[in-house]
Amino acid sequence: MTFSDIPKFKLKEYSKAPELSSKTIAHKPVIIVGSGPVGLAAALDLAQKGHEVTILTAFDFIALGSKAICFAKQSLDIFDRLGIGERIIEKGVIWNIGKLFWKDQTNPVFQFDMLPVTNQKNPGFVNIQQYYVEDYLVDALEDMDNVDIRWGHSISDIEVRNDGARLDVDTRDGSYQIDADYVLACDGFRSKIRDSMGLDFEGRIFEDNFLIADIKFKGKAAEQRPSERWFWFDPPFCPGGTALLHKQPDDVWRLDFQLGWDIDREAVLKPENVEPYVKGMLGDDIEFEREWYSVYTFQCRRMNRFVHGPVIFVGDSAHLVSPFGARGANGGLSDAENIAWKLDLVMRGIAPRSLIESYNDERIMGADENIRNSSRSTDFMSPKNEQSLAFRNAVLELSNDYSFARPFINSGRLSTPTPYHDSPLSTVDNDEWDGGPKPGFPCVDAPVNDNEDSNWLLEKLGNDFKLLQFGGKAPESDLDVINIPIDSLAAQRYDAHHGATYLIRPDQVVAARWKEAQADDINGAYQRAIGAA
Amino acid sequence: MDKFNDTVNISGHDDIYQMIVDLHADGNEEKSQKINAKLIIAMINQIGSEQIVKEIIEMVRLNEEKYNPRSSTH
Ligand SMILES: Cc1cc2nc3c(=O)[nH]c(=O)nc-3n(C[C@H](O)[C@H](O)[C@H](O)COP(=O)(O)OP(=O)(O)OC[C@H]3O[C@@H](n4cnc5c(N)ncnc54)[C@H](O)[C@@H]3O)c2cc1C
Repeated sequence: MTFSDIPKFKLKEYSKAPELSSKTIAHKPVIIVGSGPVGLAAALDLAQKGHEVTILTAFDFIALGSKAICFAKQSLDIFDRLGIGERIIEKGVIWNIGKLFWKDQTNPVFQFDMLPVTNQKNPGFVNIQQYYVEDYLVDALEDMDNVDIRWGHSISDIEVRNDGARLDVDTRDGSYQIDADYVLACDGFRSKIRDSMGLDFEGRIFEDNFLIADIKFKGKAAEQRPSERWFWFDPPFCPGGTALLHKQPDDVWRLDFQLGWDIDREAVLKPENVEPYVKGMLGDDIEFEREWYSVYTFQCRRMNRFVHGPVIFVGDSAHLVSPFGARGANGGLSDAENIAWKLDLVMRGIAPRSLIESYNDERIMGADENIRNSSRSTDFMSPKNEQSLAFRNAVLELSNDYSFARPFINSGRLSTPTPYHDSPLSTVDNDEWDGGPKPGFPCVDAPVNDNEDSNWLLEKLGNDFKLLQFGGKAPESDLDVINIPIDSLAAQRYDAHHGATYLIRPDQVVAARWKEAQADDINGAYQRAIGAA
Repeated sequence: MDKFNDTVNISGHDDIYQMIVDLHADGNEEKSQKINAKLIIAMINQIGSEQIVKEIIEMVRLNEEKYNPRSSTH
């Protein structure tokens, strides 16, 4: 396979499978299928935990096309743990201001500030092309001895067996079979594995087309433009539709135009047809170069279950959302970190196999929240009937003059981590708390010593189970303890009085908390959190 | 907890009714839909309670269903 129609950011070296010249079928502990951001992140996480990891991917390159650009704080926290966070922040564009425009008005109807809660290590959002993220993940993987990345190895079939799964793999030198105890299917929304297993992928298809123009500014224009998210409802250059402008690294900008359903895809993509849109948005005197033009339609759908015995679906293969809200890759990265620690404990024999089932519970909650939010944004942007159009326009007209209507404007609710309400792994609070993250909720960051740029709580958490002890002494247990001064901002954010303890999962989610913990409490909560209770 | 008041809570009903009818005087369907939407959005904010808004929506849904049951083709 050559994938000649896919633009390439970086070529990668195909290597011939040793299995092709051997009579026996190799057996691996875990095979990850796919080298998108999700498969790569899961692979790196498992590799850093010491597992032998095999990645099979159809591509023999990192693709260049227009995909994810907005990476949310929770993903940056994951990248930090994987060791590539600083590279991403350095390359990326941090943005805080979002502006909403309507029709031909030059003043925004509404302007919002995404400035995150201050005193956290990572910003709310960073824009960076997906190919850079993939490239950095690959660099880190290539540095490890326990990782085998096989570029240009395409799965054609899968058979679930008693002791794992057997994959049929096609390469340019021929086909081979390979076995694994576990397979992470990170093979994207057209998942061959899902199809081969005859599994469902239900949901809504939105009847709309969007033109994406990734362009590079030339001349002065690039410096003059602030790095803000601009969003238009019904602008003169895209009548009846919406439009979006985002800054990326390397003076590349993403322009996104809603075109409606009935279009001629090929014609739309011709440079002479894209140009009027670009100039309509940015002015006639703009000088630019095309990086990539594409048209996409979108769907919101998910599998009924993500865990099928030894085969676990992660990322776009399991769920697909519209891009508004930046929930695709961000949601998939949360899947990857959720399954990585669970699979790690199961493969090391510390947790029972049933722990994997909680990935199904928790990440279906995540997928449903993402699908709900992105469907709602889409319904606001392209109203489906006269009544909803009337409401949409009523909101916009009122918002122009009155602040009370503005929160109804929905141009994409940007991705935040999903709390796992009622997770089977959480221990319900017994004490009264006035704040702080509840069991099942993600940890909030804070400086531990009230020193603004050092000692971040999330950095200290790492990716093991940890006890956070706020003053006093932690009860006896085998877990690592992090002592937090009681007069810190961290203690305040965790509503912690002297002697409080939090049990934190490897994915930095609160498992349990106590105002005054006993050794038995901690042990019980830990057992529950690893699915052994 | 906040509760929807389903008894009389205001006076001047005839004047209020007249004002609303007048707002729709020009008979343009599209305009009317938007005017109603604006009224609803502003009133929702004035009510200031998600719980009460929920109860009102539920009350309207039941009332509508009672007098205009959905046809089976819907
Ligand atoms: C226009 C656009 C804008 C977006 N913007 C954002 C955004 O701002 N933020 C955000 O979070 N998300 C965004 N997304 C979504 C994001 O791009 C996806 O969610 C993300 O790529 C999913 O990653 P993945 O690893 O699950 O799958 P993919 O990236 O699709 O990777 C699939 C991998 O599987 C491999 N593969 C496929 N079939 C086989 C096979 N048979 N055998 C072996 N390997 C196979 C491929 O080689 C590929 O490496 C956007 C998407 C689009 C289209």
